[in-house]
Amino acid sequence: MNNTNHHETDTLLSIENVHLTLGENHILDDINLDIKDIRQPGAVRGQIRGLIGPSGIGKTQLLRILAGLNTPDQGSVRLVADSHSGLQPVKAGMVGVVAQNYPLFEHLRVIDNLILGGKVSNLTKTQSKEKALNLLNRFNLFERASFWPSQLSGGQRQRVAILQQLMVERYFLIMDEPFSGLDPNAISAVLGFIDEVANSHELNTIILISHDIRSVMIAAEKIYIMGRDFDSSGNITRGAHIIEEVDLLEAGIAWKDNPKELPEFSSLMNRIEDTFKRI
Amino acid sequence: MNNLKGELASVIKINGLMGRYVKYALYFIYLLIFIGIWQINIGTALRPFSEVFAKLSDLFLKEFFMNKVIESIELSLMAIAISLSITLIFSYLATMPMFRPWSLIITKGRFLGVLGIYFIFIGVFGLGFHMKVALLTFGITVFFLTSMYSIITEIPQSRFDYARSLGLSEIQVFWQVVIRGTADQMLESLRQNAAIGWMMIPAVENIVKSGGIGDVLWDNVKHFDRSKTLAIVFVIIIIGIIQDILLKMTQRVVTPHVTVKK
Repeated sequence: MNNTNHHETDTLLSIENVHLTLGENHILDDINLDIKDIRQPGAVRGQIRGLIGPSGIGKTQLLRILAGLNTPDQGSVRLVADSHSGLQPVKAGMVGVVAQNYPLFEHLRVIDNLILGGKVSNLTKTQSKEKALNLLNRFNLFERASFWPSQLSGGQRQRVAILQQLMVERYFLIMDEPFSGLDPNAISAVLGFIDEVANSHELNTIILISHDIRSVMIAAEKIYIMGRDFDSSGNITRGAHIIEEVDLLEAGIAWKDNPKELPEFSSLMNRIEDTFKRI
Repeated sequence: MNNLKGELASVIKINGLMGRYVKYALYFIYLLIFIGIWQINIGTALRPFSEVFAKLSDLFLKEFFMNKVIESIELSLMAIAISLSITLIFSYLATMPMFRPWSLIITKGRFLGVLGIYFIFIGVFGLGFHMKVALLTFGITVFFLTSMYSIITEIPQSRFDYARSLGLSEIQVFWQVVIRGTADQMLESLRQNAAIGWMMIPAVENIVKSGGIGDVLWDNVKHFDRSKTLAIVFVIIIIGIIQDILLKMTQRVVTPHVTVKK
């Protein structure tokens, strides 16, 4: 199956024994996962991972912990902040987040939203502006530079929100429901955009949190399925944890031109959907 | 014709749109209705227009009313400036839970009333312009702070998460999310509370009795000079409307993203 000639090297992000309780609810229970740098000779390959699970399972809570916006009751999240050092505990600002509603600063024009991202990385205003205009140009948004966020369409707003995150020099980006409410053409465009962003640097790592199993399967090399355990009466006996890791490279689906046309794509999607129904 | 019909139908639709000419026509009709009601009530509560405007001209030409107007405008501007400073300090401090009780205590002053606070302030400010400024400042601040406290404490967590995940420092988060992010709502609240200030000025100037429009107004109310009273009320309304327009223009300059066409 696997003919992509890839291999995994260093760990870029490590989640160890993460537990979270809110009130009486045990939300996250022993979450463990490692994201390793995937290498493919002759190509720049960033990492795209999918995190899927039913509504209300705690994906947003895990997102906040991954982004350093919340501290777990137990366990740790560590990641590679720069190419010269090892794993460090995550802090707010080390992982970019594109939330579901594509937030931007409404009081700043598109270009100023991007420049603000550049300032975070200690770029001068001139450097930030140059980088921002390059990105806007590359992703067909140059003419929207002087627009206010409220003047953008949903798709444009999403791209600007992602570009703002790209202005900050770091490797990790979490996208929360990036395919929600998009038509098939827009989903294709977003998938291409995600692929281009991820593959612009070897260490770039994008984590897609989504319900859209099909789109995540097209984009990612690995999918982590979050689930809970139930007793025979249907009561939850354990908080959310990673119940399965699906390797789409091993399955021969990832990095293919038109993966959804492959027979193994449909059978794997059916299997994941069945798993989804049980959790 | 069809277009006009459509526009007219739209003005009675929930969330309907109103064209510019339809708007002007509607205002003109309402003005006529207002004048009609005025005419019907002459002899009971109101006096004829001509009499009111004659008194208005007398006030400015013979009674040095302009000095009183300037004094009241000065009072209003000072009270707005001080209220704005106090409100912004306490509402922005309310982003930190430690300081929230301070704001909440001040906002309870809404139930004290101007007369209640008068007896507390009299020992500090005496009877004069400073007392008027203090009373009006108090009157505006307790309502302005109530509104700003809600605006600041109800900023969604997601806005802070977004700014922090972008890597902004806490000072940048405060500047972009709290100050700039709520500037449009702050200016709207200021506009509303500054207008309430003009409702309070006659009461404040009546209590303190040291000049201003309110002092003249109450004198004429006492002497039952209805036409002069209406002339003074008319002046207050015009000043209030001008203030409102100026603050609206300030909003457009300071927070242009709010008025931009979507």
